[in-house]
Amino acid sequence: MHAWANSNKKVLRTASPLKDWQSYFFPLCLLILSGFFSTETYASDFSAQIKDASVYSQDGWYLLDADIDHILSPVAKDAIQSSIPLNWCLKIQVKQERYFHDKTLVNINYRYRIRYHALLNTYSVSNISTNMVKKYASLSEALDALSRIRELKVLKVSALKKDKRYKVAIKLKLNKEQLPAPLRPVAYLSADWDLSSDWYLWQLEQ
Amino acid sequence: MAIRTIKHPLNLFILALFGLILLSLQLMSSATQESSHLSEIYSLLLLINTVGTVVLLCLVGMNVYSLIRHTRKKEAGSSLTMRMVSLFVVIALAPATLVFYFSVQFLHKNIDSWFNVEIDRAMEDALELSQASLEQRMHWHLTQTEQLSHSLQNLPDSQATVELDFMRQSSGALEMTLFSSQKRIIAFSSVNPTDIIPKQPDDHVWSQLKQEQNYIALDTLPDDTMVIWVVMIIPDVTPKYLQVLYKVPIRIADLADSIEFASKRYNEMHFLRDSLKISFSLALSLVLLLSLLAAIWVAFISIRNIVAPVKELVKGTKAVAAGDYAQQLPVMSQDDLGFLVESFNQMTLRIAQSRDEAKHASLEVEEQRSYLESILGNVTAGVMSFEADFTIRTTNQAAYRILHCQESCFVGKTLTLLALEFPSLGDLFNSMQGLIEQADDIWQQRVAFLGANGRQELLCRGTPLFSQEGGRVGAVVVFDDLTDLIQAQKNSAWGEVARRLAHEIKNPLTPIQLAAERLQHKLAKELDPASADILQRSTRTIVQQVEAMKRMVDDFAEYARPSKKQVEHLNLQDLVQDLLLLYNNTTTQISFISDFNGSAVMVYADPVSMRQVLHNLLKNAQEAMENGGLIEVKLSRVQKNNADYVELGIYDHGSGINAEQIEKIFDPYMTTKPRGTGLGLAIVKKIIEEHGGLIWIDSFYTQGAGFIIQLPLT
Repeated sequence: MHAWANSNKKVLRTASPLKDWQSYFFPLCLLILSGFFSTETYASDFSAQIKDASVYSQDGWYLLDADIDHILSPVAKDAIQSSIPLNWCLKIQVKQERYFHDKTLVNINYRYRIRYHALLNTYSVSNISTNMVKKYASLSEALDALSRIRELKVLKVSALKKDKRYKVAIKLKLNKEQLPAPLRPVAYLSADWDLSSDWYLWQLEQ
Repeated sequence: MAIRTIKHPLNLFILALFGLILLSLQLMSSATQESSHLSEIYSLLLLINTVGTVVLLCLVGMNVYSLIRHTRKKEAGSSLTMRMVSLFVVIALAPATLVFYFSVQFLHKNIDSWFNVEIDRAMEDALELSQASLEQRMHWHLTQTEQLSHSLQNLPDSQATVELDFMRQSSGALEMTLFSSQKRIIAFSSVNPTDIIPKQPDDHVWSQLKQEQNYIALDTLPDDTMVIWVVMIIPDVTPKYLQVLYKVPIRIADLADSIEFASKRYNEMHFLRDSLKISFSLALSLVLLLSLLAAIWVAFISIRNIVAPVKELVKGTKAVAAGDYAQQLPVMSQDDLGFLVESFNQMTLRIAQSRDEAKHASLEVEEQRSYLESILGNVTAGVMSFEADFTIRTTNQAAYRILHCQESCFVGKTLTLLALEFPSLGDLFNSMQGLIEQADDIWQQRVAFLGANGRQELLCRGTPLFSQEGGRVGAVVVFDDLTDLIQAQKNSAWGEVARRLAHEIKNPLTPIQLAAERLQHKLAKELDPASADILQRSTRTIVQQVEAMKRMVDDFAEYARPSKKQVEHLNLQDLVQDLLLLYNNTTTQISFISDFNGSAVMVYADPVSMRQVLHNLLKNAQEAMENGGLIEVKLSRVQKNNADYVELGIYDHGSGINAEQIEKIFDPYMTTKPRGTGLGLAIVKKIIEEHGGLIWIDSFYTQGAGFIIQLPLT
């Protein structure tokens, strides 16, 4: 079933190979702000980890399986407990390798939101695209459910040509712009909110 | 210099910029409200304001840098600008800082005051109360479902639907579903007849049912209706599952929603407490920074605008101090400074006018002076003006020419000093000083002196100068050279005498001579030898004397006759050397020294006349030394009044010439020799003067007589 070997995978932690200026625009600009406030050099202790990911073909589609470890900082957990929803975005890109500039074939953003319901004492995970809501009794259950991504349709097998080389990149990103406004400057500057993963890149073998 | 106008710096662009900054601040302030749709662009607004602050900071920084640079260079107006800006910054910063400090304090306290233990507890209690209330209701519905499940025990599947409908209506449930042990739907009843698919329990529910006998939870339907969801095992041979959805009463559901919403908001705010403080402080800081920086920037512009006329005034004053009176400054306003600038402009205008008038007047004076100078320079008479202490103040060119001195060598020196410096003019200067000292009015006097070029006679006319108060401040002396005039008069008189002599005396001489010869011829034979001898001697004496008289008359005629010269270019050196050969004999020796080293000394002269001149002079010299001796002849080149002359000096070692004779030596009939006619030197002088030259006695030569002839070189 798993036609796509998981060899040749590597994790790029230095810089994004993909055009994703928006993810750097505000942090960069807010770095100017950091001149006015004391900043700490933050390590990405709480960044999400993409443990494994693979793409395989099934019924004419390429499907994505991925295991993502959400590591929430105490502050982020506290925020969820205080009924602040966290919006996530799983970015999936498939690019055709070219000499000068890679051509983007697929750029999918799966958006979902985790929130806490105080009255029911449950955690809900809602898929923004499909409006599907699932409830969990605890946060760890909800995160466990999120960490297993199975059979996510990426693109049709027919969309790829045999003689070309393709690469797949995924990234889990916390959408800081959907945090409450007063929290945003802090979120851009504090390591506690650096929850997004790095790009996880591998060669797609047909 | 055209009057400039300075553009007002606070133009529309700057006002628009400030408007934008203000709008952006207002938007950012609104964006912090959760409900505001501006919340989405909060980061962008924050960024815009930050960039605005940085831009303003750069502008202010550039202004400060420029001001410091100007102050270091000590440019006009920079220190005033510095003082005003510093004052403004201090005045603006102090209250702004105070307001900022207390605002932040107030803000923090205000945010803190939203939260306290009582409210925390109340919120928790309210939530717990609603949870307890719901739990009670759930418990009741669980009991109710349990009872219902008992009545479904052992019920055939065919009757299940009817029974479920009945049970649903009696229990007031929204939906009832009966599942088989394989989780298939056996029967289904819903309050809404359009519902055809019941709610499906998920894996989580089934797994819980395996462990416990039932599952109960609060849930919301897709239409947001709050329901109590119960799933229960019906104990049977083949166990079945009953799922019932009870509707929570609207009132209770609304209250629970309300409490949950309030709790959610409260918890959120509680969590955001510090972030809110930071966020508000940030907004406040940005407002403060932006407004302060904008104010400082505008202050820079305004102060520069205010100081501009002062700066211009300082620059203008410096320029005026440096002598540039053409300063006209731009008038920028109609206030006091404008008035000051206008006054400055008027002042410089007047100064410039006065300066121009003064310059004009001095130019006129200068013109007059140079006009007078040129007149004085061109008159033939020498003019000298003196201070009261006989220092020479001005002298014209003619004076130097007459006195044969270099130009400008008299000015600033006293007459006494000049008499020592120029010994040949000593007599003249001493007599001049005496005459000026004595005279109280206009005086006139002939002054004769022996100058470097021989005897000169001047006609001096002088007048003392008096100041307006009547004090003596100096004198002016005008003099003419009469030497040539007197000489010409003399020559003319002698010429007349000679002509008359020739005419009156020469005519009877031939009859006298003939008569005497005839006497001797007729009477010689008739007289006795003694008488004949007397007659012969007397006749011879008469004839000899008549011959001598004839010669003398011829000489006079020669002297008086207008010269008939045939001038040509002549090498004087060759002529002199030719003649010297004739005179170089055993008794007389002649040495010849020439500056020209054998090269030609060309003069424009009549060779016969020049030969006669040299002949006369050499003969004189030879006659002066009866016992023989040395005659020195010197040829030298001199330069006078930008023209080249040749000087021929002839010096003998004879008895010399007495001082009394020197004055009259060139006059006719002046002779020291017993047999001379006294016309030799007179003729020499006449010839030399006819050739444009000069002859004089070298008064510094004392070993004999020295004659110097000066002729222009061609």
